[in-house]
Amino acid sequence: MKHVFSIVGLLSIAISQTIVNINTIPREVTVFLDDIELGDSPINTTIIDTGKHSLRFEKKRFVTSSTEIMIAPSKLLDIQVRLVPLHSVLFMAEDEGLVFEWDESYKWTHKKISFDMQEGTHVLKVFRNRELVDKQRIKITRPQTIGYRLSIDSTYVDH
Amino acid sequence: MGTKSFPEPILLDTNPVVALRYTYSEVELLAPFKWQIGPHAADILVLHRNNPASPIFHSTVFAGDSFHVILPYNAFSEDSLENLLTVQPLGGGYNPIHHFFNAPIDSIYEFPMISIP
Repeated sequence: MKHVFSIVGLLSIAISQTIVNINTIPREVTVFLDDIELGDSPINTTIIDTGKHSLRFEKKRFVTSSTEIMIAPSKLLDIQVRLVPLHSVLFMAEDEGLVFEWDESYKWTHKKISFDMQEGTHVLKVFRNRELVDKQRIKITRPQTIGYRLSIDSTYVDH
Repeated sequence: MGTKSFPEPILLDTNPVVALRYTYSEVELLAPFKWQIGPHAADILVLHRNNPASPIFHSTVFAGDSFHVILPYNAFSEDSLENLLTVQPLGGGYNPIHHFFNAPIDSIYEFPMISIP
């Protein structure tokens, strides 16, 4: 009878796991499952218990991505992840006494400053004496230098 | 004056792009029927007990046939005795035959002999 229970137990374990392949764009991304490092992508035929898990993807010069996934009982699960790059952006302002802000969150006052910026469209706000004097949408698609001058045509992008 | 570096990356409030593609196992359902003198056909439904309006599978079998179908594993409910095989004999005032079952854990699930009146 003891053997019967053992076999039933093994069957239960077998059915509650799924074979998982993890591919990323770009490759060679470090993958963490529930904060435990699985290795660098691509990761093939790793066996993961079904249920809720957290996945984290890290690579230098890319935005670290985390997500919660529910792994359902299945024969195979392919996970494909695309990481968003970070670009080096040099910002140079000509005017004194301005306060700058990216995306409602990141403020600075230096005239010359470098950033690591997620690829995508960011919102730049410019304040003088706490008053909003300029607002621009700036698309970051590669490493670039942004020159800023407050005037009617106040912003220019220098590639 | 030197160039300052902002101390943290400038991130957008976006979710990562993650795509999941499942390949499900298949389950073979087998139901042997014992046809008595009476109906010449029966409707067979596989459904979730709490969602009888949307059967997972529906077909008609004729006298002498058995029931055999292959369905994806994820079609079945994981809840206890939540899955239901219903045999509805046709042509007369026959009562339906219900058989509740758990999600199969093997690739073949065989029902006990079902006697159709």
